[in-house]
Amino acid sequence: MQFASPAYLGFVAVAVAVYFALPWIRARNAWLLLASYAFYWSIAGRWTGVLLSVTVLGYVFGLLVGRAPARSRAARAWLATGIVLTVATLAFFKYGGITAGLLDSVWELAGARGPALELLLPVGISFWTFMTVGYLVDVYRGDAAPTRDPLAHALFVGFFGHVTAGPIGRAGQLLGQLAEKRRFGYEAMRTGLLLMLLGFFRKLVIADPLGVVVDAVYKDPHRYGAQPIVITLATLAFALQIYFDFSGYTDIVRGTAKLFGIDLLPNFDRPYFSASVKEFWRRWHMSLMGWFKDYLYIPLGGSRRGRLRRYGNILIVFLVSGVWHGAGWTFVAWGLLNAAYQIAGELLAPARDRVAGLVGLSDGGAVRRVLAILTTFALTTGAWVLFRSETLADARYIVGKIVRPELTGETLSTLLSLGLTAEQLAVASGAAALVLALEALSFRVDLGAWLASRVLPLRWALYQAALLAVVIFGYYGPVYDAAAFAYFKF
Amino acid sequence: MRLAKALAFVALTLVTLTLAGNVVKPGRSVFAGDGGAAWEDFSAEPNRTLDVVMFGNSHLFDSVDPIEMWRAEGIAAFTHGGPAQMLKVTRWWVRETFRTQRPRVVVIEMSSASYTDRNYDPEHQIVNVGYMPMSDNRIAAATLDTPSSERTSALFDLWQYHSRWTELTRADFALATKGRDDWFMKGYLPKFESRPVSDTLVVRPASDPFADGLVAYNIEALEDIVSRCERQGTQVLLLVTPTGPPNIYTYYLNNAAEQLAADHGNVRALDLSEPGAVPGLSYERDFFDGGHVNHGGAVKVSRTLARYLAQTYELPDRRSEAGYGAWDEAVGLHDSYIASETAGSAR
Repeated sequence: MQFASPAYLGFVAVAVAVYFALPWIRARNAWLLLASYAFYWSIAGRWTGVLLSVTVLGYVFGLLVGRAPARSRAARAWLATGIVLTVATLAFFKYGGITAGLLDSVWELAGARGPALELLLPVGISFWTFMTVGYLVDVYRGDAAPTRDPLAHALFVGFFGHVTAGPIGRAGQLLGQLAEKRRFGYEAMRTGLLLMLLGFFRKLVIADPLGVVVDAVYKDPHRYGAQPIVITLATLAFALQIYFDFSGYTDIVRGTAKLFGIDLLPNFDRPYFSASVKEFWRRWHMSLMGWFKDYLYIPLGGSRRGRLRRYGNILIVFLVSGVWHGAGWTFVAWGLLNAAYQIAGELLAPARDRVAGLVGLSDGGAVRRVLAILTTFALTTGAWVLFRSETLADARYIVGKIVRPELTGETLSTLLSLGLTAEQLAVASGAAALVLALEALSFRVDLGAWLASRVLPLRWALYQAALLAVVIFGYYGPVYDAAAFAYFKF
Repeated sequence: MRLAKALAFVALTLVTLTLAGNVVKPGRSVFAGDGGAAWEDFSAEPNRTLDVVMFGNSHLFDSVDPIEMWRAEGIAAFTHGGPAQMLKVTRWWVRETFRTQRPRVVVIEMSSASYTDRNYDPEHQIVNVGYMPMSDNRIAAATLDTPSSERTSALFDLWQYHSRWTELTRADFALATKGRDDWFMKGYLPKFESRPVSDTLVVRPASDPFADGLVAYNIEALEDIVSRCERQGTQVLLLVTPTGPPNIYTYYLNNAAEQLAADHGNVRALDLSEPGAVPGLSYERDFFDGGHVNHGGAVKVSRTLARYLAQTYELPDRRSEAGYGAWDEAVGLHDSYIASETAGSAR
């Protein structure tokens, strides 16, 4: 079942209706769990067993850690075992190709022939394994009580709203909500549906059409070597695609959760308006970066052990982040590059301030901020080349073309040969510009409050216009090859 | 109050989406070469005025011209076919038809009795189901007789046609008249080209297990149609239109007719593919291809069918009746169109 389908909307409508028709919280949670597993089964089939296994693992070890004296040797042992088993599950499936190769080597050494290993990556495994590890650590630290209710724990991990690609929830934030009996609320419905609508707009009107251009160029970048501007524009398109795809997904699932009265963590806070790479990573995929900060960076010492150690910790966190995204050198390089950006940014800060002072750019001034935003965007987009490229060699080739862009007479015709018509390109680009403009405006104006204060006919007209934009301009249906959400493969 | 507002918003949303779907969905028009699925024209027929409604595939809507039937015998008929329509969809069309019409005779063109899942074409299925008015019958056709891969397209016009937004013209927004500019053709799609076809009779063995299997696949849908017509007091005529070579579908016609007539008293069969069944039909000049006659052939087929229907079922001649005045206008428009196309073909 795809998110961008009438089947998903029908599923959500039925799930919400039955949920609020049930009188007891336990019955509601049971229903929500059933719906979540049915949803997951529709996507992952028999690999649902892996989700169930990790859920049971987290539940059992959460109890074991919780029962042992706080921060005792026993508690640490149970914690370590639980984490190792959970991470091993992730590693086994995520790096299955490597695992299969290793196993084949073992069988060979033994002079035998092993069973053919058919491994698929269970959807969302990177997310719910991290949630489980976070839960175990929170129980160990005393930040969350171990839940004795298996239903609540299973729902915490497997809630269909976040099971496929996050946001990575925290026990303290989510378990309490699941234990509450919430009343049906019109305001929650309105907010939830509006969020879903915005999510579909980001995904279907902007991300998916731009993805067509990106895929065409990045599949065979050498084909467009004579059109460096095309490669540059495709790279820019990817920067927009990945943002609107993932933020669109987040809006859809947060909106869905809101219909049940559940608040999931936000994942994005206008990241392309960051004035530094450090700030960018505070605004991008916030639930994952928050997880890395709390469960990796801080345990490693964070910034408490001196500058060199801090830089080392940043390198480790972003190396792990790269590996988390994929078993490939491009992801490793992407992670390390982002770490290098932050370290270099900090080291060069004094020089930057001196240069800015010399040219009369005041700290905190608008011009300096705009320059900083554009620079950050350029740096992160440059890093996205590594993230998106199929090989390091392709990435090097693409960067070589981007830094030497040339406009030729065939640029426009080449752009229009990538799979989108001029109208589709115009709509996707215009929609992206519109959303980014609204994000920029949102630093000065509370857009939610502005909308809520408009008269009813105007509000309804805006909602209908947004809905029409999605259903008319959206890249979905039998004519288009609908793209799965980008983060489903992580 | 909040509930009322919510319901009002939902209603507004449904209206918006329905209108949007009607705008992006292309109207079907004979002038654009669209054959069959003329629900827009059918829905415009005044209730309970049609004496004959005919169902089938392109063998029907290329071969039977209701205006010629009107001209010959004053029969009010409609050619209600769909492109490569499978009989399991036709049964839903028949049910939907009875919502607004009470025909005395339902005609089923029987080349479809040779269709099975091998003949399934997703694009045609989407047209045959998707152009039905939104109703329980359309939902049933989409959910029970359409594979899941086409179900969403068959049910939701926006899903199927929203990508047309780059091609929309002013005509797409004229919802009141969209798809109805060819109303006077009454579902008939004339072909004007001519190709000689074989006149050598197709001879089948007395027993053909393969063909029997195809009829068996379709007999349930035919039973459904015949039973429903029987309950409505409507006669059923199983028909085969001319083919070149002749008698390609005769086996299917006879096999199905025999099975149905055993249990139902309202079933007859008429094989117009038999050489000589349509007086004056020329295998040199009156065919568009081996399965379809051209307009010249359709005129002859239509007159022959009209005569048979009038005599066999004692159908009234409606030509001087009040309430049928629009047919005179239809005849004039139809003849002008045919004349202009014929002159164009001659050039």
